[in-house]
Amino acid sequence: MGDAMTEESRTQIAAFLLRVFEQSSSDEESQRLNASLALISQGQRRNFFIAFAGSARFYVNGPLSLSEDDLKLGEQLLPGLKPELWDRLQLARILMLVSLPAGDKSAFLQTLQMLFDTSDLGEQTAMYAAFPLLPWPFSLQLMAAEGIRTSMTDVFAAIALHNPYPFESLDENTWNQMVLKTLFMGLPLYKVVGIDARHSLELATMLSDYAHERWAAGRVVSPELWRIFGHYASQFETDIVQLASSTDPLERAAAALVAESGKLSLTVASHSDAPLSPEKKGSEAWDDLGKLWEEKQAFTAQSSVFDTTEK
Amino acid sequence: MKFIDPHIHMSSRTTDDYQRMAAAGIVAVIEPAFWMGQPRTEVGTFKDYYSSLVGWERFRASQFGIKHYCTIGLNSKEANNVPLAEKVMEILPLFAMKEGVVAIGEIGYDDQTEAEDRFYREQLELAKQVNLPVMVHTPHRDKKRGTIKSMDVAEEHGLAPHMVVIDHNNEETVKDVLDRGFWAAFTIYPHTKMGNERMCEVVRQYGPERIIVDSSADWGISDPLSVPKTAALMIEKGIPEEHIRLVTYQNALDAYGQSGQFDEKAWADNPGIDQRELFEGNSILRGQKAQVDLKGSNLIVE
Repeated sequence: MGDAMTEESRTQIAAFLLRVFEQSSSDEESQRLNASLALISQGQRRNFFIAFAGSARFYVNGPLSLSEDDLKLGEQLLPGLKPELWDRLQLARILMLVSLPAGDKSAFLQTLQMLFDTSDLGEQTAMYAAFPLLPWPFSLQLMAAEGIRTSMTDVFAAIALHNPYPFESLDENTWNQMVLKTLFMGLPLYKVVGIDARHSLELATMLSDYAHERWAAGRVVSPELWRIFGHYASQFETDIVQLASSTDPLERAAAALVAESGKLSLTVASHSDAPLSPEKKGSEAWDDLGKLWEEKQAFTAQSSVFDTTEK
Repeated sequence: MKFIDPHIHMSSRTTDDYQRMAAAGIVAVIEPAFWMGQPRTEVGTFKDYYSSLVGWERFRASQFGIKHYCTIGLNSKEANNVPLAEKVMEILPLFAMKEGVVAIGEIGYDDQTEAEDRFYREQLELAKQVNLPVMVHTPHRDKKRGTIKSMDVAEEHGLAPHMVVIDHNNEETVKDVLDRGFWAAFTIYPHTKMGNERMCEVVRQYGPERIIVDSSADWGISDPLSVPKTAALMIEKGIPEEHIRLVTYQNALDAYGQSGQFDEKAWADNPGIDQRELFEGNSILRGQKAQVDLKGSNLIVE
C-alpha cells in the first residue's frame, strides 16, 4: 500500500496545474511560485511552511478559467477532480503540496501533520483537495477522517465532493459515514466521486434508517439518498413503495429509478410533471436528479437567508 | 448602512448574537486574540485558540453572512507568565501571516508590569517585521498613564501612528491619542467602559476623523449590537450621516485595511440594512427570522 501514483504522473500533473495557474498570473507571481516550488522540492520543511503560510499575501485570489482543451486534459490527468472549481490561492497551495518530496515517508507525513495542526479554513480546504495527488494515500486516512468529522462545511466538501480520494483510499466505515454526512449537511450526493461503485448493504441500512428518522420527524429527505438502492431494492421494498407515493416529483422519480434498476414490479404514478427525461438511465439520471434537487434547495435557502432549520 | 465591529470576541458569543448582528447590518467583524477568562497554562491551548480564530470561528460567522477577521497576538494579561509567553512568541509568526489576519493584537498593558512591557515591545517589533497594523488594548485601571505609555513605547519602536489603533478610549484619553496621530477606538460596553450617549458627544466635539466605534463584546455582560445601536442613536441625535459612516464603518476599514487583508469587496454582496426598510424602528429584512429593535431607549448602552 505504497505510493499509488507514479513520480512521472505526479510530475505531469504538476506541470499541467502550474500552466493553469500561470495563465492568470503576473510575472512576479509566476517567478515567486516557481522559486518556491523549486525550494520546496529540495526538502527543507521551513521553506515549505514559509511559502505555504504566506500564500494569501503573495498571490491574488480569484477564480480560475480553463479552456476546453485544459478541461479535457484535466479530466484525463485528474479523474474525479474539478480544478476549474478551485480558486487561484487554492491552486497555488495544492501545487506546493504536490511539490513536497515523496522520498522520505515519515518526514512527509510529519510535515503534513504540522501543517494540518495550524491550518486555517482556506488552507485546510486546499490540503484536502490535494489528497488524491499526494503519496502514501493510506497513511492519510486518519487526517481524511478529521476532514469528514468536521463541522465546517467548506472543509467537509473539500474531501467529500469532486474528490476521488475517499473512493480510492478510505476504509468502509469512514466511507459510509461520509456518504451519510453528505446528506446530513445538505450537500449534493451526485458530487461524491464513486458513489455508484462503492456501496454495501450496511450503507443501505444506515441510509434507510436515516430516512425513517426524517420521516418520523416530519422532515424532508433528499431524493438522492436512494441512489444506491437499485442493488438492494428487494430488501427495502417498503421504503421504495412509500417513496413512490410521495407528493414530491423528485422523490417519485427516485423511486422509479430504483424500481427499474432493482427490478421491482412497482408502478410509480407518472404525472405530467415527471422531471427527468426518460432516455437517461443509471448514473446520468441520478446526476440530473441531484442537480434538480440542488437547485431546489438553493432556491429555498435564498428566500430564508437566516433560517437555520436543518436540511 | 453597513457596519463593521472591529473588536468583538465572537468565540464567547452564541449564534443568537450572530443572527441579530447580521439582521442589524453588521457585515464584518474583527476578533482580537485575547484570553479566555482564566489564564492558559500550555502553549498548545494558545495554538489551538489561534487556529480557531482562523478556522472554526471564521466559518461560524460565514454561516450568517458575516465576514470574520482576526488579530493575532499575546495579550497583556497572559504576558505575565514569562516562560509560557516566550513559547507563545515562538508560534505567533505561524499565524500572523495567515489570510484575514489584520493586525498584531490585542497587545499592551494590563497592570503595567515589566513582563507586559517586554512582550508588548517584542510584538511591536513583530508587527513591523510582518508589516501589520497594531491593535492596542489600553488598561482599564490607571488608564490615562497606561495609554500614554502605550503610545510612547510604540513611537520608541518606530511604529507610525497611522498603523496603530489605540482602543478602549474615553473622555480622558481621546485628546492625546488624536493629537498624536493614532487611531482612537472606543468600546461601547455597559457599566464599565464607554456609553453611546457619551460617544455621540465625543464625535460632536472631536469630529469623526480617526475615531472608531466597537463593542468588545465578550463573556461579560456586553452588547454585540453596540455598533449599530450607536449608529442609530447618532442619527436620532442629529450627527451627520457621513460622520456616522466613518466611525462605524469606514475608519475601521481604512485602519485595518492597511494589512492588505481587509477589503470591502469581500462583503460586496451584503446589502447591510436599508434605513428605508426600517418599519417602526424594527429591522425586518425580507426572509429573515431575527428582528432587532433599533429604536428609542433600546439604543442606549451605558
